[in-house]
Amino acid sequence: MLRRVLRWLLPYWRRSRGIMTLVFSLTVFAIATRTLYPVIFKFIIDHLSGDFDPKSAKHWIMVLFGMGLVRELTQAFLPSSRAWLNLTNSLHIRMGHAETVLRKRHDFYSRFRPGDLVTRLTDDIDQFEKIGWYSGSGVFRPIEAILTLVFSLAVMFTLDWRLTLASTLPLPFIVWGLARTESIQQKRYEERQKRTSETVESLESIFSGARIVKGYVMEEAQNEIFDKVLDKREDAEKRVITLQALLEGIFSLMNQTGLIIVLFLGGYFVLVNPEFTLGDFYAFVAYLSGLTMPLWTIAWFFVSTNVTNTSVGRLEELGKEPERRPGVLELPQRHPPLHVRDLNFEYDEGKPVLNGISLSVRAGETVALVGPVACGKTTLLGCVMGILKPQKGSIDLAGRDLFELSDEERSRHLAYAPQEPILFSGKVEENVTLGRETVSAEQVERAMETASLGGEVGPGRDVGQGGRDLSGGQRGRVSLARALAGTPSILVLDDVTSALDAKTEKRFWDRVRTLLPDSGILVSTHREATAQRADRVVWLQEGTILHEGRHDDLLEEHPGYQKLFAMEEDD
Amino acid sequence: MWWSDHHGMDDRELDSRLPTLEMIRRVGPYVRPHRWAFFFSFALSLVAVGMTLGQPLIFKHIIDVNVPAGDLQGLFYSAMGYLALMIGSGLATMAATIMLGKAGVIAVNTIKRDLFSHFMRLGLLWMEKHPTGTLVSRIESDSQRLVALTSTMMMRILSALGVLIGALTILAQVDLRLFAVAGLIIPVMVGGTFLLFRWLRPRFRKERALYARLTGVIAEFLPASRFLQAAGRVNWAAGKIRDENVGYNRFTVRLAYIEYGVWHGLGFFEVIMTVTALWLGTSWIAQGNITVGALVLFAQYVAQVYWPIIALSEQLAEVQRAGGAADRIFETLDQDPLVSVPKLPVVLPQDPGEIRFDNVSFEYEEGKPVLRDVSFSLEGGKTLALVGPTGGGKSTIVNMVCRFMDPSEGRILLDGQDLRHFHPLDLRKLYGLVFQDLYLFPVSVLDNLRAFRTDIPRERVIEAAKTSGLHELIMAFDKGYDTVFESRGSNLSYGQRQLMAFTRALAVDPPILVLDEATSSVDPGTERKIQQTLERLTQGRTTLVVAHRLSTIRRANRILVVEGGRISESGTHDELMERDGHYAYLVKLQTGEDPDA
Repeated sequence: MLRRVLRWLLPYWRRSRGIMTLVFSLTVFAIATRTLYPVIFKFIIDHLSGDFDPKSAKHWIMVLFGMGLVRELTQAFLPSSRAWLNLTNSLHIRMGHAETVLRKRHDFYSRFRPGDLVTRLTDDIDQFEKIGWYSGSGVFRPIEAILTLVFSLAVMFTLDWRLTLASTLPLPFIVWGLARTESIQQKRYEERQKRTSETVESLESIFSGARIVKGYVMEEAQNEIFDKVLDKREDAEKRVITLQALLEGIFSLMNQTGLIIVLFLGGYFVLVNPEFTLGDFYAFVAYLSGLTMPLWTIAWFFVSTNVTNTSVGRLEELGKEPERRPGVLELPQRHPPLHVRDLNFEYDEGKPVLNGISLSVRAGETVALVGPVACGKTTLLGCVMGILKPQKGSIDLAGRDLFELSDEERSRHLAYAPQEPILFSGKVEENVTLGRETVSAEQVERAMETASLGGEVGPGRDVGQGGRDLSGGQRGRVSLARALAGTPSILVLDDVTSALDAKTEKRFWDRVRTLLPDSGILVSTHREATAQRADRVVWLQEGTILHEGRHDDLLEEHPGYQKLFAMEEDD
Repeated sequence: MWWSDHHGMDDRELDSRLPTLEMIRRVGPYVRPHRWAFFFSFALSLVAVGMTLGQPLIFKHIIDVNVPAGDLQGLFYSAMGYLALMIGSGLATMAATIMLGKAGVIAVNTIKRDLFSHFMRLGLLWMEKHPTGTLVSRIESDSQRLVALTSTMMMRILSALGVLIGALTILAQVDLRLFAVAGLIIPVMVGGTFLLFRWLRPRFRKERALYARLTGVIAEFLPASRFLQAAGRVNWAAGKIRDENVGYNRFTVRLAYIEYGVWHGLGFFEVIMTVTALWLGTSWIAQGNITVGALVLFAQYVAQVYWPIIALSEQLAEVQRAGGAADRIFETLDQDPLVSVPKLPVVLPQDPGEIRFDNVSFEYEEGKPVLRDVSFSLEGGKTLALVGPTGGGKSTIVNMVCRFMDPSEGRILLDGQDLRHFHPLDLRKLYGLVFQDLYLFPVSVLDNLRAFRTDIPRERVIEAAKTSGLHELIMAFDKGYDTVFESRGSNLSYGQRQLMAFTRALAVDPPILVLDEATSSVDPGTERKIQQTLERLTQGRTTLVVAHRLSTIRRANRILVVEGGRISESGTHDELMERDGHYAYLVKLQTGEDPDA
């Protein structure tokens, strides 16, 4: 497990090797000064006791002063440099995974909840003892501890090897004990982690559905759900607390038995062995008391490796999921026609959602997609937008396969306004441009005008998180303006007309051809007025095209067609 | 700035501060049930401190008494005494940690439960005003921090004070001059750390705000991945995340260097203290009025005194932070629900009938009314349709009928009784609602459809699903009605989710129906199914419909056209068509007739 975590971290360490070197050198230097401190103290005590020599004592006191200065200096830079390392690694780890999550295939997002994804990219990296901390402090603290142990034991050996052996007797037992309890610790920590995520998830779902909760008086039921989740978490937390306190207590006691051995044996040595001075005695006590922390740090290293291992697993899981593979080609042609040929698509094997779809949208043409719910309209638009890759058939722009184009290139030609608008915190203007340098302020203004945002919402208006400061209709219109602003070759609208009331919609269709006279428009709709304006209507039924033609002709030829539009349904 | 202004609220909340005493008084009720656990663990931790402080004294005894006297037996007793102190302090610490930790966990969870149920009481508009993340962190991290104040922080402060006072007292006993050296330098260290933490506090706050921004960007962009792919803006989004992360790192690293730099600058005073004592002590030993053991004791205490000073200052900063958390928690708990609960709620009518708006006005901000002087009545068992442009005031009317908010002026009456006289929870049980957001909870289909009301039998839910035509779809799920919705039902189509919402209203079978723009996105085929069921359902039931689709509402008994916060037209479909006003214009638009011709 340790090897797995370290191997996983290796590429990130390579990227930050400059800071790694700095932290390592600081660590060695800090340990050296810190371990020498008690030795200097020993000389001072020796000169003050036994053969009293104040001059030499004062000489060593000045050395102690200098050493103390260096010690504090290195220690000032060590933890802050480790923090720098933690944060740098966190940045690289987060960005690497955020970029892959942003590029996953469509089915990924139905398997991972948004809240869970955010937790993996923040808490799993940033929390204490998780990946970010572990990649720097977590690894360097045990290195520091091991160096301290080695340095201290080395000095102790030179002072008196018999006493060193006797006093370090409990060490192997501690190491053995810690290794034994590792799996229990891991289990407890994982349990706690799981319960914490459960709480957050249940809170998120309840708050996001607040309107339904209140509307249906589900408060009591939600209180009960939350209570149950908290009860389980409480138990998990209590178990962790007990285990942690017990282990901490037992191991520090075991280590301190070494100190008792020093106190008795050391005192005895001072009595019977003239070469063993009072200063040596003091140094031993100082070193042994200084061994508790490093041992604890090393033990803790295994615990935090466990914790990190879980988080690494959670990030690895994201990495394993396949990414979409957008192409790289460009398509310089203006207003290329869109052709869909014999398209099949299925989310689950054997359950086709689209079956043998062929249609085309040419420059300046408006094509309406009409059909009952779940007939495959949104899926078809998803394929056209390059999000869903069909199992069979092809989609091309001017003869060039859509999936061979780069995302940037495809989106320059195809602009999309989804059924449910997606907005980001910031100003309306920024939501329209989405950082596209090719979209000028003037284009934004004209797009907003066309989408009927003109007088109502200005480009500088803040939309709030997810656009929550705008009304539903306004959000829809910002999303529409965004699609219009890039003057795309083909505009793809997924029933956005539901965000516009009938009056605004009429205005929209009147204006859109002024803004985009030569663009193709593909729109899915339930409104007859929209279908009537279209040059062609494609009637989709259970994943296949039933009929295609002008609205009036379809009306005339197919009595069933009328029923797709509610206004005609009259009994 | 792309992310400007969104943290304004949090900053304000961090700034306001409850007096510490007031804070302790408010935390009291959560701590009181565990007062003995708290008391014993504090007492035990002080015992542990005492025992730890005794250890250098034994060491001094060994150096000054046992060794010079060559007393082997004394040496053995000293070592055993040391062992006893160690075991004692270890056990005391262990017991205190477990006791306090457990009591703390329970206290945190009590606050969490209280906050949660209070959120539920505060009202819909309050919850919708705050981002989900803010609400979650108020329950999750704020309560954690508040209880840390009463448990771990308090224990650390107590033991730090214990060590500081204990060590100085023992020093004063052993040698007054050594005590003077410590007494001169310690105030410098205390003052320095105090100033450092005062300087750090606002910067920590900024660090947290920067981190909140980083998580905010991530939370917004990740769920939008598919859209970003379609729009070819993945790189741009990744760049936004990177920018926030780099900005956060830059600030935090610089802060760390300053923080640790100053800390260890102050740590150097420990060296100064030791060196001064040793330097002076050298002459004192020559004069024969101090022992080597006393000097070593001093060095050991100085090393022990340093951490409590840092711990104290650090904990004081934590107390401030907990203060911020306490502030937010109690401010929330003190908030009154947007709609008040009457002291003596009127009993609901058995068979509720008429809803009447009586000169109702509403404004969110003064001088900007959303509804002006609206009066109308919806007779029992009849259907009333609201039509009009977005932002005209339709949603406000719905929010008021459901009593998510109260009118600024005027009254809303149910069977002649002001809505404010009923208990809001009782009142809402009369309604079945279908809203614009089609939220599905990550629980079973069954519980979603019966709105968690276990008193609604499974058969009734199945019946409702059959009526809405969803039964086949649900049976095709892995576990039928017991299937748990993943990702809030995102694997269902928009229309299917809307049908779910309708089915929910059908299953609950309420006396009053409120449909808010529910039909606007359903295709006519599905809508026809709903129309049929609704027709059966609305019979003899009071129904309020808001929709853009005129087909849904033309069968309504009465239609109100709401524009600019007023009712501009009212009547039946035929009457309004005859009048040839705004309604007629909208109808012509929808049928494809050119209204301007």
